[in-house]
Amino acid sequence: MKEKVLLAEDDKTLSLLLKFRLEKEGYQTITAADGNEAKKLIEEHQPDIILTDIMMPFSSGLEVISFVKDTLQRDTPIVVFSAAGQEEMVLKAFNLGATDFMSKPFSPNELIIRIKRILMQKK
Amino acid sequence: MQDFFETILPNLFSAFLTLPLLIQIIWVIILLEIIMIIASLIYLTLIRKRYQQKNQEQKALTEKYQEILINYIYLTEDEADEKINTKKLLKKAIKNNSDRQIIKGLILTLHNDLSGELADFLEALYYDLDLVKYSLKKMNSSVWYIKIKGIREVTQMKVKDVYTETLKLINHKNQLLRSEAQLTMVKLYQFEGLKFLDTLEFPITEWQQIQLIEEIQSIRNQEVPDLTNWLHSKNDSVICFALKLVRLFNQIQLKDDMIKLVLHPSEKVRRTSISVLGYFKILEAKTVLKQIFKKSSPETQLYIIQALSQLSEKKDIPFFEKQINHPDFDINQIAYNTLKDLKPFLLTVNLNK
Repeated sequence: MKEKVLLAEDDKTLSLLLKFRLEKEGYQTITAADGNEAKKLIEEHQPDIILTDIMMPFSSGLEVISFVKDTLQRDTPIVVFSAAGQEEMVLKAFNLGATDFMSKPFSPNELIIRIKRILMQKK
Repeated sequence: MQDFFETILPNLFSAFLTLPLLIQIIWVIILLEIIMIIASLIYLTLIRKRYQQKNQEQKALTEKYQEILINYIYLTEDEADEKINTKKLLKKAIKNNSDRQIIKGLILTLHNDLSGELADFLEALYYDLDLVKYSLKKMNSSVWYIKIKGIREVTQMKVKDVYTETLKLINHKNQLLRSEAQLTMVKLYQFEGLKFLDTLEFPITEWQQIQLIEEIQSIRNQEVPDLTNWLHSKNDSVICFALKLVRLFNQIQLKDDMIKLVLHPSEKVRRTSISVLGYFKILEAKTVLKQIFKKSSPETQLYIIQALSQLSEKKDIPFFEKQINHPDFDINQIAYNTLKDLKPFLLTVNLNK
């Protein structure tokens, strides 16, 4: 069975590019354009891993992490995307329970390697 | 309806004619205003509809090119024909202004978020589609903020053949444009780009110096250029900036030029050179620093005593002793602390007396 990846990213082009790449790698990818949609889809699909941008409309990436870890009480690994100058936010994300982070600009190849490693460790 | 035109309207018009002139004028004005309001409402509705339609078209086009672009990025070597066809399609599309804006925007946005081979791929695509030409067009625009947009595009896509165009903007009357051009020179041409300092007529602000230094620090090739010429520049801010570079790259061999700058007519240059001399602990500077101490302003005196404190030796004790009673608190504190380090025992004895 294909592993499920939830990708929460408000930049549609980047989201589409990553979805394409993740599907090419054999993952079932569910995309969300904002934090609220991400929370809804996480509850609905129970993904194996969550990739989320920190800054998103309606609910931020931090709220998504808090929702997964505190509200749903799940240990789903979460990889956070951050932009330059968001170091404080990354620390907050780790404190809330994020597994890893990638700073934009990042290489999708590196992201795939990290996802594979995290999912292997989970097993 | 027929009644309205045959009986009501003529009756209204004859009633209108019986009214006094002033009332007639007021009625005409009211009618005209009503007509104008209705016309404006119709016009605004049409504009809004057109705007919405344009937005929808743009959205549809963006989605279309998003898919084409991403498909193109992930095409493999085995799909060479599709690759050629997609490139042809994109090349054709960029001839249309709005399509070009969308494609260029998509490439730039993606490039902003990606690194590694995909970023290189997008840069190559930007060249292949000849989008550089349009960025250069922006750089040559007469409007300063469009020029800035053009500069940012070529910088982001690492377009190297814009040296002359960028250098021309170094002395532009708009400060934001000047700053952007200076940063681009360093980002694209690294130390070679610093040649703009030779011809710079305007002062470089402190913030701009910080930004430039940040860029310079990220240069991998650390073959530092000769900074001597800039230490003798006619532009005081260029001298101060060069002094900061001297400090950053430990160019201690330029100490003679730095010592000469202690006597520069600009107070800012004097202060910067004094603090760099102190940082490098250049003992040869002590004599001249002591000589100019008395004649300098209290602010510069503070710089001098800080530098001298960093250079202090036992033989300087008389100088610092003289400054213990200086009216400026910061100066006498530095003098006191320096003395404490130089002769802790003697100072305690003197204080006890």
